[in-house]
Amino acid sequence: MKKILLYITIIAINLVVADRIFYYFFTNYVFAKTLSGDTGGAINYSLQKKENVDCIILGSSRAKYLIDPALLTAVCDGKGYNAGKSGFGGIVYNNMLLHLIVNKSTAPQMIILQVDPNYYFKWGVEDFTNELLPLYPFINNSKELRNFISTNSNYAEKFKLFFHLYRYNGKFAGVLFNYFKRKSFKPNNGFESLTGRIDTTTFNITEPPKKEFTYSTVKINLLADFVSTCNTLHIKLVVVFPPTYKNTYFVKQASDTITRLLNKDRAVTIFDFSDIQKNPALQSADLWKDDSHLNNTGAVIFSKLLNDSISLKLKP
Amino acid sequence: MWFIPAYILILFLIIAIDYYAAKKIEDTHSKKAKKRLLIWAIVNTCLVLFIFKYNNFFIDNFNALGFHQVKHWHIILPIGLSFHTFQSLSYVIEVYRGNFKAERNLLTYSNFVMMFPQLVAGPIERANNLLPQLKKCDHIITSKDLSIGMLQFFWGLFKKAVVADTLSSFVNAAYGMYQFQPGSVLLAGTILFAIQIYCDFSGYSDMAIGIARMLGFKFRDNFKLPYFSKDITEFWRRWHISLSTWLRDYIYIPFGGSKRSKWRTHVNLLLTMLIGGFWHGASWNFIIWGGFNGLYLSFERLIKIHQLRPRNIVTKSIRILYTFTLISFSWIFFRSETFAQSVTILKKIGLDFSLQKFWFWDLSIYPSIIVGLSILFGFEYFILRKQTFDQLYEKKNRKIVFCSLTVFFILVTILSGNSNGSQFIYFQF
Repeated sequence: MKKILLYITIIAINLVVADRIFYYFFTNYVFAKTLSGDTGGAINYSLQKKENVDCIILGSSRAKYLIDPALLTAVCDGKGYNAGKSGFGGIVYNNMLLHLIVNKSTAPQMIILQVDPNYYFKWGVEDFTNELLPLYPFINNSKELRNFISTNSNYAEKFKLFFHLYRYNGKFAGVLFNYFKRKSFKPNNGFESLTGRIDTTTFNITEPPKKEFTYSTVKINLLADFVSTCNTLHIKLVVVFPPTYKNTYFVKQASDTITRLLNKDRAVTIFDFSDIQKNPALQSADLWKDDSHLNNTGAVIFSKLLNDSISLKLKP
Repeated sequence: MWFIPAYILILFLIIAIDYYAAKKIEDTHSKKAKKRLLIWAIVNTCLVLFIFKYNNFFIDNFNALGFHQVKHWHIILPIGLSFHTFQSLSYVIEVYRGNFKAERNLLTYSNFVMMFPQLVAGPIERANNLLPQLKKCDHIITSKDLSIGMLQFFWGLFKKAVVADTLSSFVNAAYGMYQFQPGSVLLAGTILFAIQIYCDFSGYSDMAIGIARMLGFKFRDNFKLPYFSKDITEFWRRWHISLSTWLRDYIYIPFGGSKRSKWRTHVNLLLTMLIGGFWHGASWNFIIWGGFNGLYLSFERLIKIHQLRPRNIVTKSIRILYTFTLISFSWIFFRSETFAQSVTILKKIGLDFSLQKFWFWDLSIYPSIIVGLSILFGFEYFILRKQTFDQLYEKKNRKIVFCSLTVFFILVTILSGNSNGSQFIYFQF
């Protein structure tokens, strides 16, 4: 029995020591120098790049692939940065990213937040920590992030977070890959374009949900907190609802509700493109990569449309 | 397929049927009576399986004939039912054959069927291996058991969480949206599924074997590096060994095996694999998957593949590639939800194959896939191909090696494991 306990103890000690040492070296000597990739490098770059730009675009892949800052000449002379995150980028993620951004240094002058109104529905059991996985490596950098994770994660997640290396869970190989190719890294504005065309022969339009949806209180509160943080720091907040091909994911009720909520204190400027019927310039299938992402040609048209709208509404 | 507490009674029912039947078989002297009891046990045990697993499948097929519409039964497949029915049946058959004495203690027998590491997804343990270990009075856990068990458990966890669950995001995206994917993505999805299902299932088996070993019990191996097989026949000797030997001992051999005429051997092979396929799930896709594997085995027997021994690394590699290709082809039917889906996927791979259309949104998983597959291949090829965990323990500095490897696999799992991984694929069976 003694031998067994001794073996388990040795494994446990080795594990914790290796975890802490490896985390320290990896964070300071590898991760901190990685500026590209979806596994944290691009966020690193966003946080550094932010110091030189006045306008930041936040959102999901529908921000990253749809809004080209170079074409937003009306607001930031085309020198903004697109920090949209593919596969993530809801308000939970963006709210925490905003705190990271403003904690790091001075706040930007403008934030363009891409919003999908039906994201704010309550979809079954809500797991917010899942949306924050990309920000785990930055836990030490934001009190708000730490508090949110601590309040909203279950015991299993808290146990996993005991291991510091867990912050790089699923990101380790990607970070390493981008670290080794860091010399070929080129400064960029975060925007990425997609090529290809939607296959209309196999495309089916999903019937929009007819029943009354309930909204997620946590997400709505985070959106309100986002607006309030921007107000406090005098950041001009612009919200954009991008369209979907043939209105696949368009729910008018959701667009109206979120618009109403955002309009409450009139501090937010909203550009609602969510109903594609009102945007004939974006209806052609040739402009779409899939039902929710415009391709490179579509992104140019959309970015220009957005720029024109901003120009009309915000320029004196 | 779910765990519903009331369903534990089904497990007790199977235990009761086979425990009682085995005792009676041993106590009865008449051969006919023994046979009647065996048939009674098999029919009743299979009936439970039929009701919960296959009932709605037969209703669907009956309804498809169009004579009369029968309503579905709203029942859920209890977790692990296929595994413990087969385990329990093997015990009764062995007692009937006189190879094993009937267990007189109901608690010990229940423990054999319900032993938790293997309850839900195998390995399908045999009575002659596990029951004597359960009956041992001086059962002790040694530090050797603990070291080997821990390493095997975390090796299994690595395979599941790092490799299988990482690959699953690609495979699910490819198969879930197959209508929109080009053939190149579907082909990649199929190849990755072959690796995913291996890591998912063998990972589970390693974890089950590892936990049992930590408790001082030795289970039989369930996988022996199947994708290093040089033909399908060898593959089935290395893949899901506990099921393939079960099918061999209780279906193929009783049908006559290879002892009868040539054509009968081919029929036996095909029938055995069809039953093996049907065991996996109540769907035509599983039957077709089994059928393909039966045809492969039959074909290899016809051309006497065992006589064509690969002599160098090139021919060996070609044979390994041949096996992997055929097996991956059959996985298309296994992974697809309907036959129509399998056909569409095959058509797309054949007719809509374009590397230029290859696109997958989550690029961040590729490095993880590369790291996972490299460690998997490295550990299997350089270590496990040459020795078992037990043999590795006999080497010098074993404590340091086992401790380091265990910590290594835990750290890799923390770093690269999919923390929101899906459940085990074989839990559905």
